Amino acid sequence: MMDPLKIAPRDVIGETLVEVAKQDTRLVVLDADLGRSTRLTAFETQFPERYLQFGVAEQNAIGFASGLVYSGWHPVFVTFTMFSIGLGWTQIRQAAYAGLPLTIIGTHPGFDIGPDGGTHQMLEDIALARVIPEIEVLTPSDNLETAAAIKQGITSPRVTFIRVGRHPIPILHEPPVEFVIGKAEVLFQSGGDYVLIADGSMVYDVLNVAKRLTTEGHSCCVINIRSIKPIDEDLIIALMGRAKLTITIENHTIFGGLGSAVAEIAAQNGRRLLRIGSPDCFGRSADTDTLRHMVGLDADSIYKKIKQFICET
Amino acid sequence: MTIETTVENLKQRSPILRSRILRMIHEAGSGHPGGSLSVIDLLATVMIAWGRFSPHAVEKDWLVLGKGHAAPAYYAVLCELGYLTEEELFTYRKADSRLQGHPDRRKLPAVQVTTGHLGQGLSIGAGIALGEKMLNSEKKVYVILGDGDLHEGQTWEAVMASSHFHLTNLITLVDLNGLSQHGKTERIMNVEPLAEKWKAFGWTTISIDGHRYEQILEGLQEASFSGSPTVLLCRTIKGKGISFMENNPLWHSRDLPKDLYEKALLELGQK
Repeated sequence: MMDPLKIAPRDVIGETLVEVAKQDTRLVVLDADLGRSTRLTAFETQFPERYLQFGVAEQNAIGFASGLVYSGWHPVFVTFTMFSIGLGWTQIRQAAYAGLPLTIIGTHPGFDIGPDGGTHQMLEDIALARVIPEIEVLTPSDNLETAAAIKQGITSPRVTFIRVGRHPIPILHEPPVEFVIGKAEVLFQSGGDYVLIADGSMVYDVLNVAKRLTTEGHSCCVINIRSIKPIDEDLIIALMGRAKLTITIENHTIFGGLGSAVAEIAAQNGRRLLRIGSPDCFGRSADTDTLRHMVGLDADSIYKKIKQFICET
Repeated sequence: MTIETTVENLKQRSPILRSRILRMIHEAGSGHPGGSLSVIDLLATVMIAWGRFSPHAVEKDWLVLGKGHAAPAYYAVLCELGYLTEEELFTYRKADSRLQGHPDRRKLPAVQVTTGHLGQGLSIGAGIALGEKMLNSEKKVYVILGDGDLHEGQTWEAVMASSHFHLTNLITLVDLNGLSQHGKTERIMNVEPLAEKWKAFGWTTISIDGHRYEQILEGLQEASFSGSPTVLLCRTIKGKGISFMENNPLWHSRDLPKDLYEKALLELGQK
């Protein structure tokens, strides 16, 4: 069987912003000298007067973005997630404190930026973002969902952080994609014994794991979390309440991200949880697939970890 | 109104504004008297005598108090303009008050811009100025910074970006009282030569005495004709107006007990 066509979710950023800007005349896009890598070229070409370049000065860019909100504009700041949440955390927190609607798109998350090495592999961004009160943290999976998340983020009255993958994955949705902030999606369901909750580009691998488990007679489901804050607590409680085990799989450290967010719910409801993600260490240079394999985040390793649990119980 | 009359009015209101600051901090049991007293003449001139900040103004200019810890000075002027009552001033820093330790627009809508973290004010103000420029509006943006803001790298990113974007509608006033919390700015981290630095970044640079109303007004006048963003480097005295506070870094952040509060009011002729 031929491999399905894979698309990097970041590829839709520019064209989605162009689409929104045609309707929303107050939309402005802020760049910090990474517009080609974050796929802003289409926007820069079509709306040069609304494409604001700040050079390599992210904290200032976020401050300007806040100022642009005050004067009536709808700013979207796009850069690597290491440099938005990582470098501009207090500036983003201040925008949230002031109650400003501000959209931050963070690209190249987790191991997606593999060869650049551990300095640039942002495995802590969801943890940093989700502790800020009132902020929204979205982790769309494929390209279509990414476009839908960006559109939702721009219309939200809050600070919205959208984590967009660089690692290509197949299209998992049929258009039009309905994206509701705070609502997760059940992407696959053969039963309810094993609940697999995944974020971003991990969703595709996890789907394959679930299908493999199903063929072996295990009933399971896959939740594409989509929105880590607010999180779809009702759905998670309902599914984990009937499950033998809930498993989180994330392109992020197992501390503070999706696994922790679900652990907070599991602890309050007395349910078992297995967290799969990057262990408590920095990354290193290698291609994304190799890195994922090294830390046990490839489909085969995920499958084996779950099988091990099944065999032990 | 002539410039002489404007200056006379400001001089008359000065002891009242200063006594409001002191009472707020006395009642709260904490706050930042030194930096509030050094900046009050700048704030009063910009908001009362120069810019469009009245509650009745059809179109308002923007004020960004970068040094948000000088909130008592801001609240004293907002009271003068009619946004706040004298009674409400004395809820400052207390539970359920709209008057937070640092200005908060969600609690108090008269505050245009929420501030407090040094280093962020100029970026935000410059962002507003860029937004207004893109809307072709006539609104001016006044950003008030302190010495501490100049220690933060982000401020210099904003200084660079403001001239890059030709923000002629942006006027920054730096309250240079020369004292940080821990001592003299020149010893903590020297920021001089300031005029040369701002000029090198493409700003129109005007140096004035930040307690001389006519000099502040002349600086603002000159800024309004400038073809670049303008900075007023305002030499001030921390704790200005109260003998035992002047130039004493201990009064950066401190309670004002009853005996000293009354002594200060006597000096202002407000008791």
